[in-house]
Amino acid sequence: MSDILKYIVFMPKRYVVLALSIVITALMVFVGWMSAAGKGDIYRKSTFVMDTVATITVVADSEGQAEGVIDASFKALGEMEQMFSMFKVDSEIGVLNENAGGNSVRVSRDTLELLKESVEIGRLTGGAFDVTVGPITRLWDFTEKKKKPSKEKMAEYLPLVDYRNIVLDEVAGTVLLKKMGMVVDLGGVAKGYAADKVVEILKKQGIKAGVVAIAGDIKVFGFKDINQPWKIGIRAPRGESDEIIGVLNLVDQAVSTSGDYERFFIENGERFHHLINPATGYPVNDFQSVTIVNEKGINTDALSTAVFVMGKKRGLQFIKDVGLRAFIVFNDGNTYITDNLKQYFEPKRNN
Amino acid sequence: MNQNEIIKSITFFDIALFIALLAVNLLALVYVTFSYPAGEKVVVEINNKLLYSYTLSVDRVVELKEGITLEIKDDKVRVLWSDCPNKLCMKQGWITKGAIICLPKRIVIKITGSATDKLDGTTG
Repeated sequence: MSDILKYIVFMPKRYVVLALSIVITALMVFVGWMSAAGKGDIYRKSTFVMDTVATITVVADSEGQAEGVIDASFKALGEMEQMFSMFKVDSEIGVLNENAGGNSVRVSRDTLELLKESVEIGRLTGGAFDVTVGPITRLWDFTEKKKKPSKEKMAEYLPLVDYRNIVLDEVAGTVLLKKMGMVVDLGGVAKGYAADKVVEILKKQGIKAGVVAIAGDIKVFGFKDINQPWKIGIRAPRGESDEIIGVLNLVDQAVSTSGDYERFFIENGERFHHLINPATGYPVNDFQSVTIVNEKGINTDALSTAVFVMGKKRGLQFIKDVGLRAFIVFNDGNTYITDNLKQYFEPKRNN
Repeated sequence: MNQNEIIKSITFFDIALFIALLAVNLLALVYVTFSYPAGEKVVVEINNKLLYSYTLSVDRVVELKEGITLEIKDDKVRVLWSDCPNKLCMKQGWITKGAIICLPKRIVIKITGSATDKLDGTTG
């Protein structure tokens, strides 16, 4: 028996108790310190941009580093809003819309890329997603008048909606809208695209993990902690605004949800919301919400809208054909999740 | 060993040890209190700046000079009144987690603390 052991064994009882409590207290302090140190690496900041709230979360070495990269990202988001907004007459899209039916307009590489991808998604979805839906979205007013547009107006503007009338010249860096009165509305892709861009910016600045959330268009990258995915809640369509229906555990993925509860009014018992079918000019009411998970934010943003607009039959077939990862709440409240998303999904947790 | 014998056998080092232990425990208590949140809080941010913070468990009605009145009751918070045009923040009603966002005023009223921090974002 070693001397130390002998000492412990033959030591008076009260010293054993004291020594033990010292060891236990020291352990408790150590464990507390360790868990606090692990938490300190996550930084989060929000700003108002693109007519909504953007929140950026990063895992960083210091608050200074986090502040620097997040502020740079906010600046980039502001610049993108300045290019893509259809509400700003001096934005690139504003100028493009102003010149519809007339001149080609020179645009930045970002705008050209976003338009090109939007046209491709238009083709992929057979026009269920169409960035030229602007004349119709302008007719609907979900905040003030809350009335559906007249049949005459609808008939007048519907022929202006066709993504195939966007002519892109990648060499010259110009865009032409063929018909007078066409309006490009990037509201259904810009936030997802912006999330992709901000993740690129953060990675370039040496950030290994984080979350970029522009309203409900979210892109996560890296792990939150060792082998710990990011937890993204899916809003419960008919619940309180803070109620969730499930949680997605995500790493290096984007997610978007299109829901009929975001902007809507109810007229004679019928719900009219902002997810407008470009073919008819009216909303589709098969779903309460459609959530799509994909590597790219531009895809989740546009395809959640497209599937919503396609309705049940065509939408579910499209999900199958493309192999999309989707979570759907039907208009009767029932839910559906694709097999390829199940392992990332946990049903509602009561926080 | 009877009581008298125990008292007689206590040495200076026994007392020193007790005091040292007490000090370590007190330090641990102070540390734990400061490093873990005491509970959920209602936080008001305007233009991304933290302006006010209230404890969620204390019921009260607060009039902010920004033209918003908050009511905190039974661990919930709501906007009781706002002078903004669309009053969406009032229509949102009571929240127990997450946030109420007033776009025209650029105000975010959110509940922070253990429960809400579990999620890293919400889509929808």
